[in-house]
Amino acid sequence: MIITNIEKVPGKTIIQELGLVQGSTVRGKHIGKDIGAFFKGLVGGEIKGYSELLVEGREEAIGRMKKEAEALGADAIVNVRMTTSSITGGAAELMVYGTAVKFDL
Amino acid sequence: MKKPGDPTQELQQALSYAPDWVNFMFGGETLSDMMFYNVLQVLAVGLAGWSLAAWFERRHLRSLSAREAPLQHISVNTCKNTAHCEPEASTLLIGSVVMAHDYFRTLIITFKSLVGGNIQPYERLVQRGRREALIRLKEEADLLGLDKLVNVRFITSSISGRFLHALEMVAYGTGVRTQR
Repeated sequence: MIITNIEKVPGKTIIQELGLVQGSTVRGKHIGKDIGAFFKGLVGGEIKGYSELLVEGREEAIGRMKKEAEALGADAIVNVRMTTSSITGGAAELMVYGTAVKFDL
Repeated sequence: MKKPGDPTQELQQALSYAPDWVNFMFGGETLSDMMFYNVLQVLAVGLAGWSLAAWFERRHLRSLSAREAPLQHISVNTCKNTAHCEPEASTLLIGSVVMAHDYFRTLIITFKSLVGGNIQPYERLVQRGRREALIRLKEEADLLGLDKLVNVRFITSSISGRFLHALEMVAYGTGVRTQR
């Protein structure tokens, strides 16, 4: 499965669009990470606990999107966009969406 | 068997065993006394954090410059042109970072935002975070042996934890390999 955020895949010819595919995840942090972040907040800078959490969340969202595309029988997902929104204190929603396409074999 | 006593009395008894500095931090005869001392302590912790944060910021900026230099061969653009690229090597790449201010600076910003205008600490934080995100994106491309990033986009979003608000900076794009 090739994923790009441009309208094509270099070197391939797209013959069919299979429609929108998306994956999203809402992830919270366990309280220990939050307490760690509280103490990191004393000096500021990068909050590693949250960085890791969002990276993992985004990977999971992409995994879900891939699964959806595989169910449609797609070869690639093009024009992928992503959004992050804060749902409530201690949780974030990560969403990834794109268009599933089929190649000329 | 021990009878459960008055909880406030038990607390006072427990506090009386505490070392002096704990009594200094949380003690005080009257309510106004306690508030006055606590404000001093909060300010002391905040100022210490602030000076440490300033030092960390300078260190981070130095490390950013050092890491940017060896990644200059990777060209970055926001166009979708892939005319001279090899097939079979394109992939989506993501670089992200979550950053926050220290509490003392947050306090300053709160007062500064009453006046309006440029809020320089936030400008610096966002720019620093975006550089870091772009470097991570480039590092990932370098790891995969890709030398061009097309259609790079940035997103910034506010992440609220239980105790502090942080900003997430993300850079994402398609990594490709140009033909040689």
